[in-house]
Amino acid sequence: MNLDPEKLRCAKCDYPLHDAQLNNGPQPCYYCGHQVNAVVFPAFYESLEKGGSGETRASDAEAGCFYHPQKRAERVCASCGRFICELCSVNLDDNDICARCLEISVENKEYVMFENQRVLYDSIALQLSVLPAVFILPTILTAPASAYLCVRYWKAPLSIIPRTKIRFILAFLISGAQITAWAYLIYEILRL
Amino acid sequence: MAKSAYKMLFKSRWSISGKRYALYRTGDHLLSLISNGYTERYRRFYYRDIHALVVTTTPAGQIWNVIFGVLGTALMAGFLSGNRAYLIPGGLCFLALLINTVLGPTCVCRITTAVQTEKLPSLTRRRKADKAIALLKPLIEKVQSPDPAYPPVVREKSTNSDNPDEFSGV
Repeated sequence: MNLDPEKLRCAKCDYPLHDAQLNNGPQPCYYCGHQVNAVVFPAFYESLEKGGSGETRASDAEAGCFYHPQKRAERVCASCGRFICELCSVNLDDNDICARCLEISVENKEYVMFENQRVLYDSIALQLSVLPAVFILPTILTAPASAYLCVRYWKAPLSIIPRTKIRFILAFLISGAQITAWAYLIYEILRL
Repeated sequence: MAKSAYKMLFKSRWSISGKRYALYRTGDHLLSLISNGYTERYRRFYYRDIHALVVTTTPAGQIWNVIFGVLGTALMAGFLSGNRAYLIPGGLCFLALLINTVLGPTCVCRITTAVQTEKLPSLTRRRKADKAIALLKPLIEKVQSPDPAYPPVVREKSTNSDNPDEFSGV
């Protein structure tokens, strides 16, 4: 059982909730008096599984972990092939990989599930083409910048949630129109 | 466009500062999204890890109602006394009051796992939070293995008067 009375608290005043307030529909908080609806799931009542610590090598004949030479190697990293102990092994998509390879995967953005932030280049390009148009003059700089962003990041991954490329298309069309207008204006000035 | 596995739970909520808050669900986790227009930040809560959802009503909605009501009445009084300029701001105050009343009571929603307690900024209305709980509860309970101790049942001790043979070894 994982019943920690201090763990579940009122979302408004942070006062610990009583057992009678769990899974009982809206109940008044004992401190602030506001209605609290605490829905508790089975995982709350289960104790956390203890992770492996890795066994120590019994003799020099046994292979040791690359990162912890005193620990017995129990697996081979599916990515780099290094011998690793239970402590260093991370199971990812049914493959055992070492922490270093996991770190490289996260850095290289190989797994979407590890991404916790993305830059929205399409929104930046669109705002760069629309907002400065109010003042007209800044568009001489922002229109090429917006067009560059559209071309440079066209193939870059967008948001991880559903999203189309319509912002890129609009930004490119608007910035293209602005660049054309500036080019025509400069041409006319030079011709005079 | 590659088909995304994420499905939006409710329409996004926009804050006064221009931030967008949304909640998405997929086969094995819940995704809380915070966007400022240029970047998106994600927080994932796997169904198997969720311990509890706690929703507490807040007085913020009622406070806003009082503010809009007082301001709207004052502006309308100004309009009725002859100043036409007060009509539009007064009307806007009453419109805001109406929208706030229709949206219902405000709340704070927190999600708890074994190692963290996070606020879900996209759920600020009680009605929406209740809908979210109704939607997520079966998904979470389906993933989490049924525990005999869930829901916790307080078993009362049988007394000899109820069943005299129970402890007599008969």
